[in-house]
Amino acid sequence: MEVGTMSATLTLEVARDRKAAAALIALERVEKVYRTGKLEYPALRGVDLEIDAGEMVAVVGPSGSGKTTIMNMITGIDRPTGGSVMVDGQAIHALSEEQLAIWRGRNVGIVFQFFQLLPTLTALENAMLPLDFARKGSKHERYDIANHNLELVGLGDKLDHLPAELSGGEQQRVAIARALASDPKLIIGDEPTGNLDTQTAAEMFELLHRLNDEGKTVLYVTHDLDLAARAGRIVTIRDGLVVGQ
Amino acid sequence: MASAVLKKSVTDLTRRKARTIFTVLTLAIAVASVGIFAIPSLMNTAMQKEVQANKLPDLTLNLKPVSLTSAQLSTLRRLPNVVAAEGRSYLQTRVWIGDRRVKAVIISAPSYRNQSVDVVSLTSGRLPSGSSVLSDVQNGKQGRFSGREGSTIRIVGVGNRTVEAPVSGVARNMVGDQAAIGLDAVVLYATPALLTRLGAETGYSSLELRLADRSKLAADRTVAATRRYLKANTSFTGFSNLPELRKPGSYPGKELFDQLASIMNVFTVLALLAGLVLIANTMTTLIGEQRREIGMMKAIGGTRRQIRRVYLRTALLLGAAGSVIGVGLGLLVANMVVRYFGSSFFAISPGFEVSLPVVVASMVVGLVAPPLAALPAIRRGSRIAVREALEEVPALQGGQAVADRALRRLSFLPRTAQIGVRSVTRRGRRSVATVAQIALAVGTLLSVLALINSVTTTTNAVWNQARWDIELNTVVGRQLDARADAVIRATPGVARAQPALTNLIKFDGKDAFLNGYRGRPLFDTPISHGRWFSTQEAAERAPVAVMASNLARTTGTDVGDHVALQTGAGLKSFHVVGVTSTQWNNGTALYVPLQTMQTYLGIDTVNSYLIQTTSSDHAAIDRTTTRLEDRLTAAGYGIGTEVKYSGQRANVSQNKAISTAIGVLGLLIVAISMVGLVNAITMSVLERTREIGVLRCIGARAREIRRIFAAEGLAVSLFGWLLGIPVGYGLARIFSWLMLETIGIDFGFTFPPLNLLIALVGTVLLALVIMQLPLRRAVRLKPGEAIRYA
Repeated sequence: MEVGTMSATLTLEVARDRKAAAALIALERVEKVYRTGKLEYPALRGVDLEIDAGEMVAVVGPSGSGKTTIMNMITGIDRPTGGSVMVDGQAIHALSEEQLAIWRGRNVGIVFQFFQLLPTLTALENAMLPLDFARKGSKHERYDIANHNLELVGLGDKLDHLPAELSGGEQQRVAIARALASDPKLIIGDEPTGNLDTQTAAEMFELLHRLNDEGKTVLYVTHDLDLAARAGRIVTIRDGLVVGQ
Repeated sequence: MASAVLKKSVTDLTRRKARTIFTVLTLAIAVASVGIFAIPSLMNTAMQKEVQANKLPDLTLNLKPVSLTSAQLSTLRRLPNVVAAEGRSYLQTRVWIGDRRVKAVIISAPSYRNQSVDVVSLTSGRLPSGSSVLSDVQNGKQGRFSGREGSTIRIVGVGNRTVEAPVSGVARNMVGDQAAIGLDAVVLYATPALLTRLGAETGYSSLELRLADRSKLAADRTVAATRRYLKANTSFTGFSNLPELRKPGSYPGKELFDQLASIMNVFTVLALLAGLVLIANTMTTLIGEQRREIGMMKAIGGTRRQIRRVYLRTALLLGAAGSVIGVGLGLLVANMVVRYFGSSFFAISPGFEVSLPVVVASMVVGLVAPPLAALPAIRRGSRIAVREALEEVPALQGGQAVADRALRRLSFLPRTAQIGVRSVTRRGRRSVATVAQIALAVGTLLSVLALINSVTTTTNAVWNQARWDIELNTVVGRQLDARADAVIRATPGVARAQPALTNLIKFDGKDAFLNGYRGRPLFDTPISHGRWFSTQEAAERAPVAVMASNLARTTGTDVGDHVALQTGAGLKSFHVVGVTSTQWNNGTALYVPLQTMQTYLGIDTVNSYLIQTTSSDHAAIDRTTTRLEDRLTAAGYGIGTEVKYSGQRANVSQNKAISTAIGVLGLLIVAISMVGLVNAITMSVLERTREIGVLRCIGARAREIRRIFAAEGLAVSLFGWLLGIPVGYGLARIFSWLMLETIGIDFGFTFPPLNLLIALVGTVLLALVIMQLPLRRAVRLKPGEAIRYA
């Protein structure tokens, strides 16, 4: 393990020299093999991908092609089996689980397909949670930020509602407000509109677009080709490889 | 279809191995609690084996030493109803262990080769001959004398002669073993020749008989026939003590054990209750998790009945596995407790025994309870609508009940603690069951602490009522007469000496003491009704008695009643003139004029003295005790002594040991309840695996995840503690009442507030320790795997 870490760090240093200045996200020869029992399943087979700051990118591809795995590599939710992942000059693959958690809390906003809100916390508390973990600002400042973000997503009047008291679209808005908590440069969505009706999905997409206009880098996985077409760039994945950009 | 459905019942178990093992172990612990019911019967089996092997006498007659020829003994054996008869001689004295003089009882049987009653059995070495002795196995176990064959022991004889006796071996005997434990003495088995060398009065000081008909009436006839024979043919004048008739199946210490067993049963019922709640809780959780699968099976055509069968079979399989381990565990625990009680209080080493009815009961509980407990959850699950089951997003429930709103008020807590505390209400049913289990554990702990406290306080209070410093007794052997009285009173350091005759009797089927004094004894005897007998009544040998309140209460006796007592001279009636609230002798004594008792027994001696010393200094008391022992032994009296200050210490620690031993069983309930807590937190972690992944995704560090679940566990524990206080109060009341009803001692009722704090600290610490395992699992989860968990 020690040797592996050393070489990874070396690769990282080389990578930093070459790429850091240009791209916000840089994946180089990223491989990921999932092991379940005796079976090995290669989800990514040497992905090279660069995304610049301020881009809005849609990742598309059939089921099981490796879309979500790419997202998980970028957010550090999963670790690559090989290759390097650089985000905003940070070598993600070299960080420990603890460092990753802290890094995510401060630098990335993630929106999940099933919203994944904490059911016992109110909308406001859910939107404040990343700030609580990151211990950013005073209690009042955290409240103000969460309040502002909920107003931004149009839920300023439902601060004290529990997730169970909100509609699907509203829950996803809370999830977006939560993703914005630490004012991250990067917003990642894993099928963010996959569980919403067409009308709500369109509204949600508008919201992501607005955030991108304000300078956030937005990266989302989708099955919906119409929604994908509205991104600045489409990355197509098939069988663990980038087949089109 | 059938085979695939059947397979699912099995593969459901193998799919999540860790959880299956955990569930099986949980069920096993619950099943094991049934095994505790075996303790009284196992103990009884072990004791009955011992009784059989020992050929315990049915009737024991204590006498002033009487010499009997072997022909006379043979005649006694041929008396009607007598199956076997043996004579025994005793000498209470002291032995030298290094530089220390230690209390000793020397027991002598005419022959160790052909014993038909009260058998002394060899465990190592060979039988004694001439001056050699056998050492009781308990001498070594109690750490008093570890001599074996080949070593020697110096025995202090009458008239200051000391005999150096070789030890020929180690032996055991129920009566001797009990004496070694109860009298704090070294017990040795010797030949009559050695007893004579030691200067003991020749002759038998007790006759031990086994009877054909053990009824009271037949025994009375045998007593009368024996008395007639002895009076006509020997120097016999009267029995020195009341005849002791052993109840069938009884053994020395049985009453104490029965009393302990009845209290133990309360704990067992509580343990079983905790075990059943645990089973119900475990099964409900297990089925609750399968909602999505149930929906899926219904979607592809599974009927409710088929689905129920799948899970009932799973429950049955879990129950079967739990039963097998649980029965083994239960047997092990029960045998360990029996071994502990047997060796600590009854001087036996019970072998491994199996109580078949309890094993069957355990199996039944193990096989029937899990499916039964799972049934409501299975029914609920099988009724769920397909769409609802398939669409269920686990993280979206809860938070809207009254309890949730109340918990939201705790906004001053850190966010992690808030998430944890609010999670308590998400699985309400499980939390309630866990809180109930912890409440039971806390309640048990509080009641046991209260019991130990009451026992210690009362024991000390009783001893503090004593105004004597030394008690002399000759339970067996030569009795104390006028000459002994003169020796005692002339001993320097003696301020007051009060003669007494104490006897253990059965009164209304209960153990009781019959104590004769010339007036008020040298300890407080507050009168609650009536009066004490007058000196005139004593002088006139009037049949009057003062009864201790516990005995009066349990036998329904009051002032003015007449009670009939079996004395050596037949049935005699006493007029109860007063009731005293003293708890001395367990509050189960009957106080009568000494002179009356002597008349009925046909003796003019006593068997005990209460002595007040001139100084209360412990060293001075010890010096006076040694002087009394030396002078009386020199004058030919074998006596035992009890010094109040050390007796008090020993009694308090012994009572504490007994109540603690009972309390140890209570720990089983604490253990079961804590498994319940581990179960609840583990299930909580499993159910919220995906949530943990999300929290990690939005920046939660390991310690924050740990804090969330620790807060949940602590919240459940604190609710449990709070609810445990009234439970403990109720249980403590029940125990206090039980002690009075079964043991017959009024230990009073205490519920010290300090114990609440001890229980709180204990609950919190224990909860924190046992939660480590599930917490470790929670923080070790990788976010990627956690998010994919379904």
